[in-house]
Amino acid sequence: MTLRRTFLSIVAALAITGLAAGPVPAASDAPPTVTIAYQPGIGYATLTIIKQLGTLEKRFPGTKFDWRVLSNGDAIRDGIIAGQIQIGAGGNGPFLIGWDRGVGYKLIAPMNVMNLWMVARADEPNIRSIKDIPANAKIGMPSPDAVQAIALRKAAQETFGDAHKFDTNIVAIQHPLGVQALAAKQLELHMSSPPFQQQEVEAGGHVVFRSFLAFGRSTFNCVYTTETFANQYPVFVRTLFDDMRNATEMLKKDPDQAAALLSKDTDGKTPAARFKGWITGPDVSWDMTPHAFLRTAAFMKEIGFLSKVPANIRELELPYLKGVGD
Amino acid sequence: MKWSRIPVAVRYALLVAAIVLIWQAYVTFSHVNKLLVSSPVDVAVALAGDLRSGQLVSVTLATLKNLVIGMIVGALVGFALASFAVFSKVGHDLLSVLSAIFNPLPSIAILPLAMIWFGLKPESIIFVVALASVWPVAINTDTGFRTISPTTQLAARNLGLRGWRLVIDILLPAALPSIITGLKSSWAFGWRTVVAAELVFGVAGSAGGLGWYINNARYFLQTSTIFAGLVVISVLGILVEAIFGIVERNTVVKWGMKRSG
Repeated sequence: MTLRRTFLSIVAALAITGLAAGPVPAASDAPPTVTIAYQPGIGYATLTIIKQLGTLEKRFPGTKFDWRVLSNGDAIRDGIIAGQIQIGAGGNGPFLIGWDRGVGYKLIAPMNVMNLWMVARADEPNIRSIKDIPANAKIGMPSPDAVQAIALRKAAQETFGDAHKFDTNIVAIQHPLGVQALAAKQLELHMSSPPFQQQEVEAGGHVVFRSFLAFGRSTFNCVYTTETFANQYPVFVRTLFDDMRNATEMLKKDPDQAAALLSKDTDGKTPAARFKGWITGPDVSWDMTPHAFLRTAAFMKEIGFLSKVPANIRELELPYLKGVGD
Repeated sequence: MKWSRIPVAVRYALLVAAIVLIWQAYVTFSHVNKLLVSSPVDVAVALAGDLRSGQLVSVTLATLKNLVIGMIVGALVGFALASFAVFSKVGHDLLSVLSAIFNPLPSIAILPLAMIWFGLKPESIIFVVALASVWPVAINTDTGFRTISPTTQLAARNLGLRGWRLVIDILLPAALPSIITGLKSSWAFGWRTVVAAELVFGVAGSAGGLGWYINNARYFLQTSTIFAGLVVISVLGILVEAIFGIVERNTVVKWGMKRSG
């Protein structure tokens, strides 16, 4: 092949890639397909209830729904970047990192406030606080940028003056596998969420650290979507927001019905009574107001996880929340 | 000018430069989301930053350590199996059966089992790497032993060599071309396996290796760092291929057992 022909083919290849961007479709009421992705645990009960009630499917019969459970917030964020997930749910850590890097998504609304426990194995009685964590201990968490990991870093900074003290101890593991790994003595500590943390304590573990110690009462999980999707399908996102409010009311005022729906989602494998205990637990509240996003973001900027911080909560929210929260 | 008249090194350099230019031009002009594709300049910045901080060096060493230990264990077991197969019919059948069972199994598929057996420790990774490198070494060494000319073998036996002396003094040098081929493919399997295992494994920190480094960068949406990790993996691959080339030139090619090139 001559050099001339080589260059011509390069120019042709560039021209083809330039044509790939298509026209932007117009706004309409109902999206043809929607993938809603959330994670295991009762932190996503709000969405599970909406799924079980089928209200969205009734309101938008022409839309093909896909409810998907993924193992961590990062996977959901990656799915949104790749355009495969329209509505995502997860903790505020991965959400803030995505917001900082320009994923282009914002909060529809938070779902809850939960105090997350770091549980030590029953045969590690000497680990009573984060000061007692041995240098080679393994601490299971869903990901190194998860809410749990940010809270631990805040505590490490306050206790040892080194936010990254435990970075080499963190093992990325999804909640259900983490419970097993703790039982199998592969982890010394595990920081997850309800109901996994309760199950670990019932199995003999003890609580070493709680996430509220880091940032006070803070939002655990939130539901988000891209501004593009929200602008294109405002009616759909508004309906989802209203459904979330109804589900939150049910979780607060009618935990029996909520627990029955959650049990149904597991095909009855987990009895409703257990769900009722978890959703009415002392470290769990159902609250759609953002809490501690700004404090958390300021700390994440301080330790180099974010390049900027939101000036106010409105920068993180779609219009439905009307600027409430911090 | 004819492409084939340009010296080979210049040809390769031109192609690499063209690929990097197209890559940069694509990122600059296509307005592709920076979270999806980083430009070569961004990758170079990420690479330089993590090389200077020492993080990239320590994760690379961690990966190489897991790989080398795993490959040494795998190669030793492979040699032992092949030697046993040469000396006895049972050994031959054993190697046939074992390699028929395990060779088609991607060893990364054993990782979940290894994690249960060895825990979330480097031992799990070393185990799957060893498993990936046993079979190429065993099968190729066995082929190498079997294709040694009977004259050589008979001459050796006539000299009174038997057992391990026969293996080390006669069989190994005579089978070296096949053994090097076996080691090369065991490296290729081992290298892919170690990076894949580290991706799954997710033990954080400097001991996590290159796979962890890439995955961690994904968590923090540092796409240019992901690319930097891939560049290191690729460059290391090229380097090891070159080392095998040098070893071959100084042994089997020099001895006239294999043609160069």
